[in-house]
Amino acid sequence: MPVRLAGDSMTVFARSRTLGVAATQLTLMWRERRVVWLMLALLCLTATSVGSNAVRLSAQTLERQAVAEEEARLWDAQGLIDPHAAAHVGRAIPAPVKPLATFDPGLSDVLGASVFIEGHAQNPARHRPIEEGAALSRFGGFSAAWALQIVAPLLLILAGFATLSGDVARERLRQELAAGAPPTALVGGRLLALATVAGLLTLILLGVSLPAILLQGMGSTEPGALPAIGTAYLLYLLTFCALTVGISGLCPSARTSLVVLLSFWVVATLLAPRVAPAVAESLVPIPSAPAFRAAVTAEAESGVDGHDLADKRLEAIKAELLARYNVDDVADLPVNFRGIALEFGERNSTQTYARHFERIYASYQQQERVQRAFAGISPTLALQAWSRAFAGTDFAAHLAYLRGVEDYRYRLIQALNHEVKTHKPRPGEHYHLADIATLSRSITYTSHQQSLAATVAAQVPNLAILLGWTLLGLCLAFISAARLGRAA
Amino acid sequence: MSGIAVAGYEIRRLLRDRALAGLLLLLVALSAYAAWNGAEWVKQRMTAIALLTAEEQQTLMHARVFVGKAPSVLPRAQPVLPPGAMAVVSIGQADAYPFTADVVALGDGTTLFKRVWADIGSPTARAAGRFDLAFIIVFLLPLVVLAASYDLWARERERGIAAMLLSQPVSVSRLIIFKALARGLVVLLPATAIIAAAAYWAGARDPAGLVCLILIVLTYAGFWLAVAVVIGLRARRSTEAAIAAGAIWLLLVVMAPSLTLTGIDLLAPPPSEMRFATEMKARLTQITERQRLQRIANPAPVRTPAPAIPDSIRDSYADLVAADRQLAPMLAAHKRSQDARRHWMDSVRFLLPSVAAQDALDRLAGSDADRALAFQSQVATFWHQRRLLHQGYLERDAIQTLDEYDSLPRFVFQDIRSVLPVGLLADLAALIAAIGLLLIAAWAMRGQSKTP
Repeated sequence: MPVRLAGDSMTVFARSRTLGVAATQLTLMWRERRVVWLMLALLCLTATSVGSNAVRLSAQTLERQAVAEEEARLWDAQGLIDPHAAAHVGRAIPAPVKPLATFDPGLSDVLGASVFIEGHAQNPARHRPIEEGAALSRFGGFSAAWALQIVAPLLLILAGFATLSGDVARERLRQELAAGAPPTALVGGRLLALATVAGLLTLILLGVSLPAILLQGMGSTEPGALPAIGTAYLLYLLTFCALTVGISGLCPSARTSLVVLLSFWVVATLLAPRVAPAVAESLVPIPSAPAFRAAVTAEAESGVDGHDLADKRLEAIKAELLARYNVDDVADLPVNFRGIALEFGERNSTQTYARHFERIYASYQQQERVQRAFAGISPTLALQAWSRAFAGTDFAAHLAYLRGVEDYRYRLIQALNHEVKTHKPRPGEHYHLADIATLSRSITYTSHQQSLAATVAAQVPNLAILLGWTLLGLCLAFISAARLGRAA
Repeated sequence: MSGIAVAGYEIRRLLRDRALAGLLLLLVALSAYAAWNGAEWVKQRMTAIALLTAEEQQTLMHARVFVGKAPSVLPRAQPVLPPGAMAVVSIGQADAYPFTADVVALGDGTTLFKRVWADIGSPTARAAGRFDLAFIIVFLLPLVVLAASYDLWARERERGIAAMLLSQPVSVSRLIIFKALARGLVVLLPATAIIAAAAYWAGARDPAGLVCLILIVLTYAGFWLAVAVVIGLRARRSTEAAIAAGAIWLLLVVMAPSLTLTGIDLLAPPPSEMRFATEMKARLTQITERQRLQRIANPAPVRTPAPAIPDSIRDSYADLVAADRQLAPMLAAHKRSQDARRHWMDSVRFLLPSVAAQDALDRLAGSDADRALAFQSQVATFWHQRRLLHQGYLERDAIQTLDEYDSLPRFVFQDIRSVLPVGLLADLAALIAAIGLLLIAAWAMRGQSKTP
């Protein structure tokens, strides 16, 4: 019992020493002002970016609502026409605006903002915000997430690179060790001080973004996504804190510590996030747009497109129908054969397009796996993927939208084709005419969204990588403390 | 102590530094990879162009059987914008503008680029930005220059050598100038040679283009050397100089351009392409419906003897032309908004050296917005010419012959720019002006260097 009490008091003593060291370090940082000014500058820049993002997203929300309403009006205004002609008129379905894009726009700028749906074809999303730019456009992408991913680690490095390796720091360490402070408390205190700065930075930047996010309106997934994003950023910044303290303790001079840490920062936050997608693209090539289009249209056109009644497969269907109804001519069938051909053609082309598009999506996923391998040299890559996924601005979220649109397109076009199939033209008329608004009223588009559970499941590897990096950083800090203990 | 002796000492010191060799080796590896990436992009673009050209040829062959059955057979054409001779250097805006078009003579002008499929490459790679030589030059070369020269004078101060050097019979300005020149010689020249060699290896063989590339690299790297001189005059410790160099790099290469773009987005937001497409569709529907009703109400008189080309075809063409005329103000307004935004983006580049360098490289590579817009304009002219051809047959009441069909004009992009286009010269001038300003600042700060 006395042994346990002594142990407990030692723990309390070490903890209070750690807190004392942390408080001293925070006071030093406050007095030096370098970190404070840098934090303030970063905060101002981030607030500007969040503000402008919020304005942009609000405008986008209004614009997309207006477009959706106008497209619906134009669709309904077609009146009494051949349903298949309506399928060729088509309509545009805008992508939903994600509230968390205010914090992390992710891939929003490079993904299409609307899909034009029509019969016979599955079109890719169009109107990418990145289009129609100039040289300056290559420098875009500043956001609160970017600030936390790229600038915050730099700030932590600048705040802590000399914490154990600078001349002044060495003198202070000698004094603290001579006063009986345990090395773990000295290193732990410094780590705690840096982690406090990191935590503050994360909280402030998320706090700055919160009003803008609320302005966009929270959906069902956002309240759960925000804590997930915050936790990941805390882990990420804790990694940089631990690495900074660890390397600072292991380097002989502040200069070497700065060079090592800055080199790591350049590789982890600037080079790897740009090299990884490029390598992934080289290893898993995607065909050019014309090559993809040529392949898919060749296959779709070689099948039945609904217009070519002489097509062999259609001939087989025709023969089967004539035999079933015991008639010699399609005109004698109780159904409109044109509708049957269109239905068959649509099913065939949809399957062809889906097959080709799924191949592309599978390639994107393969590319993501290659990029994830690079997270071994850069925790930023794991964090980027996590942050985008929970913000709903990654490709998985876009894919959910594309699949929702395609599902709607197929239902709509097949409903039009069904109308053609079940109604023969009146005598003297070429086509059966129907009121498109009435016909398509029951077919509605509902936005598809990935559930939070699915996002968590997909992002587990990135979380594991982040945890691995945090452990590595803490190990380095521990090694640094052990070395300090030996030196004492 | 002569300037040459100072430079000689500095060069010897730098050559002994293993870190510099490592840095240059890293630059070799990264430049080679970036150049290879550029070459792969060009290869993919050329393959796509070959495919489009073959498709166009096939359409031309298939449509030949219809000649004589219609007033004119003007098959769908797919003009292409080929990559420039120095395309491997920068992919720039080449992915952000269409490189092909869908020219249907009797279609409406708004669909020229509408049906063209967008880039379907990896969105993550597009968001990260291309890893091309332009990225190496604009983003990484400054880091190499700063890493090799951030402690131009701070190290001497830190080690206490500055006082001894200042006691020598050489002025401090001369000392710093020769030290900077020596570093320029040891870092800038190999870095420029590496980048030029990588570009040449990847297929950028145009001698004038290579000279231009060297000029851009030297000017931009010179700007960063001037930044290092200013830092050197001010910083008293090498860590302080390193932090200042990093902060300036972050500010000039990343923050300032990004925030400027944010500002432009607020001041001159991009016109909504989505809303424009819907509004055009609505307007076109309205026009077509009105024309249909007018034709029903006022049918064209039947001519006797009947012309070779039925008047109904003339009526359809007249409706098309009338619709174009009515859509023209909307198109012009949209273009004005796009141009206004681009004008802002083009103008601010003169204040941002990194953007000026990127723009210069884009223009050199032919992946700039101006070349893409020239292509769009030439496509529109080509489409208009095709329409006039059709109009000619209608006016002459003569049906197209096979000979006429076989000699249909084909689209060839006219690259009318010179070796050193005005935009590129303006970029270089902006960079030189920035260097000049920094040197003036350094001259004004020269007093600070005299305190050890």
